[in-house]
Amino acid sequence: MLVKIVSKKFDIPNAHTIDVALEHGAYSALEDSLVKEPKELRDIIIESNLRGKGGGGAAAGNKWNLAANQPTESGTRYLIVNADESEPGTFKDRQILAKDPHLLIEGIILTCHAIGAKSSYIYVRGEYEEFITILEGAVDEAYAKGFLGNSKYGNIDVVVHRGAGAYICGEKSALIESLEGNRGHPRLKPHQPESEFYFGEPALVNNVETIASVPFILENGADAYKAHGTEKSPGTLLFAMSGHINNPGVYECSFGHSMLDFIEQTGGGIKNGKKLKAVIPGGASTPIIPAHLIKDVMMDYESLRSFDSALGTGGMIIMDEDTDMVKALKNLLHFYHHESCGQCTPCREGTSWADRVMQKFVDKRATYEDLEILRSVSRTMNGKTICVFAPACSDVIDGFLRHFEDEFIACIQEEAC
Amino acid sequence: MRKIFELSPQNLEKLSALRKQYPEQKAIVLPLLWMVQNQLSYLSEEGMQFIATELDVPYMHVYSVASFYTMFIFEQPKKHLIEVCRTLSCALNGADDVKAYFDDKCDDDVEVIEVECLGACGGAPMCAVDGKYKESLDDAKLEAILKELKC
Ligand SMILES: Cc1cc2nc3c(=O)[nH]c(=O)nc-3n(C[C@H](O)[C@H](O)[C@H](O)COP(=O)(O)O)c2cc1C
Ligand code: SF4
Ligand code: FES
Repeated sequence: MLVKIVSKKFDIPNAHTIDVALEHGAYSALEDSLVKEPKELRDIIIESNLRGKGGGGAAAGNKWNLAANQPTESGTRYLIVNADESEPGTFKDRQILAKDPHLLIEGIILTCHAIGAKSSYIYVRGEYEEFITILEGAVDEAYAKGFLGNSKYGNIDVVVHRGAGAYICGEKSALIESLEGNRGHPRLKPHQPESEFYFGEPALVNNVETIASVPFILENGADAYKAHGTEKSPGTLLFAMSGHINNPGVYECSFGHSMLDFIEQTGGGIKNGKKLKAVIPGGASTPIIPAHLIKDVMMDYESLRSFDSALGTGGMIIMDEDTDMVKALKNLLHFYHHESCGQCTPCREGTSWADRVMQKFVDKRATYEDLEILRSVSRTMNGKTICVFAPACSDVIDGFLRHFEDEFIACIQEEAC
Repeated sequence: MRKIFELSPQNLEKLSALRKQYPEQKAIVLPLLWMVQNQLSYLSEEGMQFIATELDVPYMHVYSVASFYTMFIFEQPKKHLIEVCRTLSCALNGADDVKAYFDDKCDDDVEVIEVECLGACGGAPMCAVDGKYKESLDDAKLEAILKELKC
């Protein structure tokens, strides 16, 4: 079940320094891959079925082609690495930044070659100050050793860009806005496949872990990657467990295993010998799944979809039998209220209204009408906004109401008596 | 007379390096805001005016950008900052108690605030003390933090 592809060097002391990393095979994919044509590299990624690991699960190869084939007069293209990691329950990218930054840099050099980019930006959430220091140290070392900058490896430049506290900057177009020196407002885009644009030039945005998966695939071939996981969800993911679990942490696991086994075996079961009540499977924005269904859930994109949820970032929040679902939803709605960027009325007003209604539930002041208000606010937020932040919030509310409506009703009745 | 903001010699050097790293100057608003905040410990009007002049953008643009991000502050902060994560994984593991503990024990030199998920959910409950992550907090670790801050 547990595999070491991206996490290969996580347990090696000081693997974030270039000498130790080199001893353990860092940058070994460059030599053979950089002599290949960019298109050949993109074809390997397409063949591997690598899916984006930032939450959406989009096919990476298709996105690479869009960025590589987008016409540009100046010939300039960019690779932007998304290290904003702010989805509650998610803490995997920081493992790569802190423990094996050279794997990320190697992936960046390869990806730049594959899409014809010379500059790359790594956008890291501002709070990751300590990990930014480690990452910057690694980038400096990579320059000094001739992997970056003027070198035989394609003259790639890497800049580490520090965010400043805004969840929404993880959304790729908001991230680019922020990287252009603006407020982090998601862009209104046509619904057609096209690359992103940084100052008008084509840009590819990929998650840290996606890029860190690239060296293994290019070095060992698509089949070696597809040997792990399922047909539609190939390879591995850095799954994370937090909440009421005995062994919280990040574990690289191939797709397709039983979620319950993972929680019990790798996670060591529920804290304090309690029973499982529910799991939020892939970061706060994925709908909750109650315990009685968990035994049938497999950890891959398709299985989670079939339970009206999503794999998301693979960051699982585990809740024991004593968890108050009303308080749990209130906690999350406070988050959404706080993080809405405010551009769209349904989102700006809806997240704050839903948060206020939930406060009434927590205070035992809620009525049946409030339950209806919550549902209608959720409906209004769905499908009417610039980005999918509001629909995600709506899905979260619907998930709690679908599976734990009785607890909300009990709250109302407590008020009545 | 109005105080003029000046970058430290070290930061001036960094600024000229920064200018070469981005296709357009406007892109370095965030790095410069960080630079000014790190130098002054907050963003003063003069500091933001300096950025506007350096990058040839309106002052209002700099202020509007700065005010969007929660980590930028516009007043002299207290000596220490404790950010207690309040989001779900931490809440399930006693974030409320951590916040109450600091509220009770910290003196006026310390600002204690609640923040949203810091990406350290595996180490819940957690907080950041002057930016440094402190995870898997228990009684001993809480006491150690107080000692470090001399409360
Ligand atoms: C509200 C919101 C927040 C997001 N936050 C992140 C994030 O913190 N990190 C990330 O990699 N992707 C995040 N994403 C997904 C990005 O928009 C984008 O799809 C992703 O970075 C693409 O990389 P991938 O295809 O390699 O996953 C977020 C999306 C939304 C709508
Ligand atoms: S849906 Fe919400 S977060 Fe997304 S652009 Fe609209 S207001 Fe901003
Ligand atoms: S919920 Fe506290 S660090 Fe993520």
